[in-house]
Amino acid sequence: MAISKISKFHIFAHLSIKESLLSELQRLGCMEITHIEEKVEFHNWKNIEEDIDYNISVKLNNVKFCIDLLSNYDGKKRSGLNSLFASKKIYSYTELIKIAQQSDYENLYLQCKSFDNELNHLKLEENKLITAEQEIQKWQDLELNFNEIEQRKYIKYTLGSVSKNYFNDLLVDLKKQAKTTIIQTIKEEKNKLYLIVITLKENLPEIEPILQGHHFEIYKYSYSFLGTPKQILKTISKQLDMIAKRRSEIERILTKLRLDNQLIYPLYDILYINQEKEDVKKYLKKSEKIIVLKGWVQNKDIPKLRKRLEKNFTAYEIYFTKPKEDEQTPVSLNNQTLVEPFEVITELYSLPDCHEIDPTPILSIFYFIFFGLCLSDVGYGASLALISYFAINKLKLEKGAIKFFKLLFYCGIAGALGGVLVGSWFGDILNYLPPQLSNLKNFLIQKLPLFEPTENPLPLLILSLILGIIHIYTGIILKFLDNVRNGKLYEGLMDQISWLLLLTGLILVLLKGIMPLSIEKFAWTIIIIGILSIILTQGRTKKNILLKIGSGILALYGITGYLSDVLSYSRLFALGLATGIIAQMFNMLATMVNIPYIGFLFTILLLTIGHTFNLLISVLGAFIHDARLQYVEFFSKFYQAGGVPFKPFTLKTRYIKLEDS
Amino acid sequence: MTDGIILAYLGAALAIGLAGSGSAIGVGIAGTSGAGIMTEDPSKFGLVLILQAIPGTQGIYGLLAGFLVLTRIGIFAGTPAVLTIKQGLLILNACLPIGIVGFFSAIYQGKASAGAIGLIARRPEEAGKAVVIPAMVETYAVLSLLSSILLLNGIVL
Repeated sequence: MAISKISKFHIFAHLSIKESLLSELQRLGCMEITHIEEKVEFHNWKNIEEDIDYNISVKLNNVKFCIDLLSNYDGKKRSGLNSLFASKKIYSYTELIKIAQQSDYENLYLQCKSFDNELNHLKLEENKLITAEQEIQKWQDLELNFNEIEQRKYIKYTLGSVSKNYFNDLLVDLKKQAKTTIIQTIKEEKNKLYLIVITLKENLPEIEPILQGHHFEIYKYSYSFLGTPKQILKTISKQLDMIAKRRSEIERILTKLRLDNQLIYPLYDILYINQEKEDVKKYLKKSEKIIVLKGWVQNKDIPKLRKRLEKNFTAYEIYFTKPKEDEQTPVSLNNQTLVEPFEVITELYSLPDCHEIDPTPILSIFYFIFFGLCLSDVGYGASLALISYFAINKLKLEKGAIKFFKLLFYCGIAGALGGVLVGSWFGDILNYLPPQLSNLKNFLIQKLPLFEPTENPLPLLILSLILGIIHIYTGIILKFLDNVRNGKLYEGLMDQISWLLLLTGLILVLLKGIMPLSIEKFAWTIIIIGILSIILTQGRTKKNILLKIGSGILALYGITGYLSDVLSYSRLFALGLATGIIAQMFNMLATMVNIPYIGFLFTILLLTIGHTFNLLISVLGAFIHDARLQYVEFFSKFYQAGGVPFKPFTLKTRYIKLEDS
Repeated sequence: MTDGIILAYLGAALAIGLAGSGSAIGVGIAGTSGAGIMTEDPSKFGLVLILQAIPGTQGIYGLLAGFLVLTRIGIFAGTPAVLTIKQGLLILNACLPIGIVGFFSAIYQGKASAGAIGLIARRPEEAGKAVVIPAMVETYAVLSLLSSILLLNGIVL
């Protein structure tokens, strides 16, 4: 149980094997390469930055550009859930290397770039045309040619719009001032009129102020299209059609390009791998003929590492050193197979500090039990386990995802066991079994279960609280052991044991009805010892004697914290009950359907939808609430967390899966 | 039909109606912020959906309590119980915790979820923590559901 033991290593190697050595280490994937801080030992060693190949990042960006562009044209929509389940193509490392050497992406990149530019250009053009179209549509009933309007010798046409509120006044004023003016309405909108005002040029100086005075907005035609508005609109829609045609043509080409260039996905991955290799070079130092690199490796991988290096290289030297007592090392969890999936829960919170104990093994037991109580249905538990089993074995998943589904698999089993305990099989579906099976039903619902939460809720509620007390006690004891391990026995006695005494005493007093009297006396004794030791010790960091006692007494207030912690575990009972009752509700609704002949189809449909829904929310609820109990009630008692994860220098892929070598 | 049963109906209606409204508001708040995030990164749909669903549980708890009441007074069995006004009031009271707490906790949980969605937008690797934060609010909804169930269970019909 624990955090893996880790060692520091230094490798010295001849400059000539730099590239092959790094590739080999990357393929081995078991070491983290870090900065070399020792200034004294390596003070005249140089960085090797000038050797870094920056071209790779340019190439990587270009390939990424192609992938991003082309992935829009694969004909299918992808949601987040789909990408989780999508299976990836498998390549071997040598295949990848070959792809990196052979594939010519430059041409593809240029094509993609030019199509992308063209698409953007088309989009811009299209927007312009659409704006023009909207503008000119307002004037489509105008039978005149926009360009001619400006060229008349004696007559002036003025186009413009005015609000309906001002229109009548405008009309009256115009009539008053100039009799030779004609106004025609071209288009009427909700509260706006589009007008053409025809007048003699000589009258213009009188007319213009009137127009302005009535908020007449003059329209200036600013496009280069020729003809009447109707003709122009025709031209525009023709051009729009052409754009649409060209676009679908480009889309067809891009779809084809995507199909023809499947290799860009592995190409991206191998470039990414190479890029990471270049990035690591920042950490290296070199003298004239030798490079040095430093990092961390898990002790269990050391023999493998030595063997691989010996097989492939001669001009190198490797040293391992144990980390110093106070040195911060990266953390990687290493648990046995059964416990391993539960690392997901620990990692979600935070990895343990490198000097701490890994809480996962103990957490796994509680997580399992609590999940069982929260889900507590045989049907749902079994479904969850089956789905996870299918996912692990049939889908090509990443390592992380497999771990997660293994966790769900265990959780499913826990849920099923919890269901047996309370006699819940898809809620109360067993009640709907034909009467011939009543023996089986009675056994499963009445004989087998230990609890009947719908009839008599208290026993299960009390069990939840007792589990909570055990959980909290475990947390306190773990902290005590941790203190002892670090040679702080007295602190452990003062901070943890005093509380344990007080809490145990209080519990015993609460139970006095069922306990012999002698125990009650004992209980009061340990309560008093507990209280006294808390008052006397909890203020020990304060200087003043009054403050010491004062903070000691204040510390007793912590008892309310423990009370609310314990009550928090009532959620185990409540969530378990909720699962069962919601399931019952769906069963009842589904069997209420009363349509002749095809009614059973609706019943089945309703049952499927209802139970799928309940399964989803119950599992989500159980997962979250169980995690919360671990994080808030359990971890707060002892767990420091804050470990930095161990990140080995390895082959990372995004679009493809690497064959295990 | 007795007067008591009217009160029991009111209780069921309040449990379902209040908790459900709260959830609708909460899910709405979370959804708005989730949709905003997805304009930038549609691949976060799965995570956003989970976070958006969290304030939805209160509505289910309310429905559950209402359902329990209706079962208890024999509506589904087709033989409604004869309730005195006192019994009806007791049932109504038992429905209040999940109704009231469900309403408010769902709204605030929606806000916490919206915050958590903001968190995963910037730091997707912290999804685990983001899910736990709104779950802290949920505690009180669970506790109120628990009290409603226990109160209902204690009523002698």
